[in-house]
Amino acid sequence: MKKGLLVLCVMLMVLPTMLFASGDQESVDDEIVLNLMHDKSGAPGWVPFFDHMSEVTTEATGYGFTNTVFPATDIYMAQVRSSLPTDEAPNMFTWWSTYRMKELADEDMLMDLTPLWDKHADEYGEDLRQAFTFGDAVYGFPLNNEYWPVWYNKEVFKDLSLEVPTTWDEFIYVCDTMLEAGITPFLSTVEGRWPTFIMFEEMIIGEDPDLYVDLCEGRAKYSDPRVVKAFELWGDMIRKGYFTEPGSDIWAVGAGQFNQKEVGMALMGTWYYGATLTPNGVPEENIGAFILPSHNPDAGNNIILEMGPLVVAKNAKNMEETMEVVDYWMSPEGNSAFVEQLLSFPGNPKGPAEFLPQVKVDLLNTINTENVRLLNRYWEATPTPICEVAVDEFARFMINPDSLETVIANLDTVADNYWASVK
Amino acid sequence: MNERKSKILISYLFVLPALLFVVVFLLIPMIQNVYYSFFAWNGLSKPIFIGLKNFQKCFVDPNFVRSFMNTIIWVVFTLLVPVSFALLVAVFLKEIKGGSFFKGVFFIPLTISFVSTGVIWINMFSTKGVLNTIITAVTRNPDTVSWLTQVPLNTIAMLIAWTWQQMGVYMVLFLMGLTTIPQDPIEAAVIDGANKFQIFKAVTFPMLQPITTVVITQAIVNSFKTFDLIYVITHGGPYRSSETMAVTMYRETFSMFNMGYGAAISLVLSAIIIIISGGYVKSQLKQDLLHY
Repeated sequence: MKKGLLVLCVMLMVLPTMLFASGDQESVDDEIVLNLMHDKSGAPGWVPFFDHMSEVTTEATGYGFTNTVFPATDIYMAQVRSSLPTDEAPNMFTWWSTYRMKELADEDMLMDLTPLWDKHADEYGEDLRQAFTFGDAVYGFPLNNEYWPVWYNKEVFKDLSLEVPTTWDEFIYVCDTMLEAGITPFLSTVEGRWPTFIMFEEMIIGEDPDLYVDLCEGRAKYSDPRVVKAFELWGDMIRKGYFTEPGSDIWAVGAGQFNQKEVGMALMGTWYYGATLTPNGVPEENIGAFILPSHNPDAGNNIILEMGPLVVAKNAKNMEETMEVVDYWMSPEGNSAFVEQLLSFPGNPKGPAEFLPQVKVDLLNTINTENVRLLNRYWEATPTPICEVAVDEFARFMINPDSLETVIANLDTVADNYWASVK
Repeated sequence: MNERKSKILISYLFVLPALLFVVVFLLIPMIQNVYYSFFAWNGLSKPIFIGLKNFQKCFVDPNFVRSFMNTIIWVVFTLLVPVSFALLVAVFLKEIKGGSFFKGVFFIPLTISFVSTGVIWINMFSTKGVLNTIITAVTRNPDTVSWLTQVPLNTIAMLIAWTWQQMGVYMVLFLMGLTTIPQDPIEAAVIDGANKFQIFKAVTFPMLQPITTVVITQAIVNSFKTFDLIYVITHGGPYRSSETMAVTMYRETFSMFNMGYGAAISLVLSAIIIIISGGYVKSQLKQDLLHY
């Protein structure tokens, strides 16, 4: 009997610990260790990159951080959102820019980084600052920048005696030549939902970049004749067979098709080079990139920009130490120390970038010298409630281009409802 | 404290840890779920009380209506195919030599997680997957079948994967039921000149009723709750065409962050499962009472 009571007492003492124990940021010897959450678990996973950065920041500021990775973006978003109002909020976490960030800023969940932006004002420039400004404050900073060019297989171009297209007509010639040779011009998919916006945004910026901005910000309607025209052109391309079938795998399998000359091109962010193409055996010397020419010559040269922000949770502990780490990370040397791991473009434009592969260097030179307009990616540039519906509607259109009328009507409905709700 | 009271106290103390876990990790979230179903809440801002509007939305939201219809398709198909097929397989395996080998074959998919099953079948159904390779080889037509992007073919494809995995569970349950059937009535039927089909129809199947009730109830509940397989294979897409109620609940809660609406959908789903499965079990129990 006494033994039983003793066992029970022990169990009851241990139980609260089991139930309510939580990891503290500070280890037993009172050394401050910050934490960072992210969802970059894909190929390559970012855990070793953040581990390396922790070593760098420890050396530079005296403070390092652990990093917690989540396997799926939706789970990650739910976890971050639920932790932000509590004192278990992460010190730093990766997020998405513009509207995806705005909802967190509006709810006062993010730390105002204006003093650090003021300190680094000469490095970042006003346009980047504006992309992270909501109200009177600046939140987060760009870890890295990714551009969205057309990746092409140089061998295919060489085999078919093709030149990199600089006009829409030349681009169509490239596609038609590939088709005649039995090569599908483009990798494309509806799998995973989000990739459906890729071609949509390209078609709209190729019609008129101002229209694209107006559409994202509610000043233009999806039923605008110029939007419809862009959709119709996209539909013609689908009908002609310019794209792989909608259920395609654009990752490992897609890279294989690219490598085996079954597919000639892929319109993807610059991360696709190191995350998908080279890890799946595509030789670096076979990979080229160009900016998709606008189908409307008056639209000029445009390319989609995807910024990868890091933000600071307002409720996180050890704020002073966190700001020291962020301050260093925003600096040219701190930022490049991180993006060098990714082989990505520095978020800080003044950051050294000599580590980039030649194909990315060439692309950056083109962007910097040929008056190319940078436009925010649709995923971030348009409000999330619209985007989440839109990607499904784009999928409907990709599977059946004849559904254009329905798609336009549904897009207008969701956009009208959203903009009416925020007025 | 006398001996009896002390024993009772210790019993309660032993139950306490488990009870605490149930309260903290099940009951409180359930109560919270009911509470939030009456609110408009995005998970960040202050919840706004909107009464029954989330429940009213269920009846007018085309996505919910579609997912409800898809769920019904899943339930009906599950009752018609995996359950019926499992019963047939169980009956045949009981009769044939080497049945244990085939039991293993049908049972193996059950030991694989739904996520792994999803990945296996994604590869089977992919453009360059086994199925398309066979179809192309047989028909000599290079055009592949878009198993996962054509509606309603994508739902049918997932139901095939579902059958492959679920059949093993029901087969094992039916085999258990078959072993408990006494041989006397079967021998009597043989003496009366009944053939195998007549024996099955008039003796075996009626005597299997208790286990059939368990299987059908489980099948109804499982198919209503289907989430992981669909989420892995199609994410409920394309354009939300293959969502079931569980997937819609997840999408609204964790993609759209309509937390209140997601909570309402989960309650509607729970109510449907309780009413249908509870009603079925009750009707079967009544029949059992009539028999005895």
